[in-house]
Amino acid sequence: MQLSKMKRVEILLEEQLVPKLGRIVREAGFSGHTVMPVLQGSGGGGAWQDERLTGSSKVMLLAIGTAEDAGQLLEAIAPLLDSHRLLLTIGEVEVIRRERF
Amino acid sequence: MILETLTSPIILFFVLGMFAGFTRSDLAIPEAMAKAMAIYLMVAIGLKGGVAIAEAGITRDLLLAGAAGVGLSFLVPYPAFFLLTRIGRLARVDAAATAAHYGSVSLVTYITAAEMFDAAGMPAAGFMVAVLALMEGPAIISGLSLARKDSDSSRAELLHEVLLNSSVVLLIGSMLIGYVAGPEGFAPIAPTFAVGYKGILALFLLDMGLLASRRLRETRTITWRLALLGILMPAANGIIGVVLGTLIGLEPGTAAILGVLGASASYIAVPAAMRLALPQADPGIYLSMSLGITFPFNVVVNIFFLSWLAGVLA
Repeated sequence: MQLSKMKRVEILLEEQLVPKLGRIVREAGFSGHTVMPVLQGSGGGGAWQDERLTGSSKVMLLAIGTAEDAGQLLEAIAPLLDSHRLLLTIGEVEVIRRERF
Repeated sequence: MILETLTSPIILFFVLGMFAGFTRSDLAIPEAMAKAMAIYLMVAIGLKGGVAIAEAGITRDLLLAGAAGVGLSFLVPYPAFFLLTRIGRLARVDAAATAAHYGSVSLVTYITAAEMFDAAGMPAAGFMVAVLALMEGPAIISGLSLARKDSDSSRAELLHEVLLNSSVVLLIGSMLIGYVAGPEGFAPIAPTFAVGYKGILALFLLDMGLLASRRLRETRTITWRLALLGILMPAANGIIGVVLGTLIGLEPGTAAILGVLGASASYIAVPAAMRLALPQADPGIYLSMSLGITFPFNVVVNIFFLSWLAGVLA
């Protein structure tokens, strides 16, 4: 079984921004993404938690792609990190079936 | 009416929620249940309004109240923006997003006021549900124009959010169903939407008390200037609404509820639209002000005051 090194990008964002960020991720070259629910947390802006009634729900957007894709995404997303209150992390992962990414 | 207000189970449940939130009780209403209760209340109030319009028809009062409501929703954000930038010292984009919340309306404040006016013998006309629905959107357009920037989303996305957000679809849809069904068609489903309504509202306000106190407890962005504006703006907007309602010849209960709509600030529809259109604006400011300060002030003090004012002016 062949394992390939790829980049795993995680973006914590407000739910309403998923369509916009999903477009940016695709345009950076990623073949797809997954959105996962998150419950609560705290950071520079204070504590937050999932509050569907007021539309205050954050989600985690996960995408896996090549180092080149991740570099392009970083360039596109860097100007939005502060203004859109995003949290971005990039890590190394190994995948099988590399052609799917 | 002040004693009735303060001893109403609806208000007492709200106060209980605030108390539980401030004392950090582990009391919590499951998110899914809160959402379901909000849907139930929107459907119930929409049906009630639709049936009322079916009974009374499209009247002069409905048209005048609708025009007054749309006018208030469009115009209220402008003085609010001025006060938020000058006195509140907010940045342009935060002030514009917050001003949009104050031009739009709060469904729960409306329902609470309508119940209390009913109990006090000065009911508001059922058609005011239509005015409520009309007032959701114009303030968003004013807020965006005040921000002096293009929306972060495409025009189609924003229009979709403004015109087809869940509360507008449910309110207008239920109202149309109530209108088409009429009193006779409504009768078979009345046990679900008329009898249990007040109990669900009390439970919902328990959750709103929890949410409001949590917002206040956790906020890091509200200054005393913003807190003051969170009380002064709804007080002034409410008075303008009642005076306007009285001048166009509405019954006291209906004029009072127009004032309540003017005084209320959105915390369901507009936050979602602002996160989409002005993501740079800080939700910690606009949600803490509308939900943490203005909503409790309206429910506990302003509703009573506006009904008294409408009675005096009439």
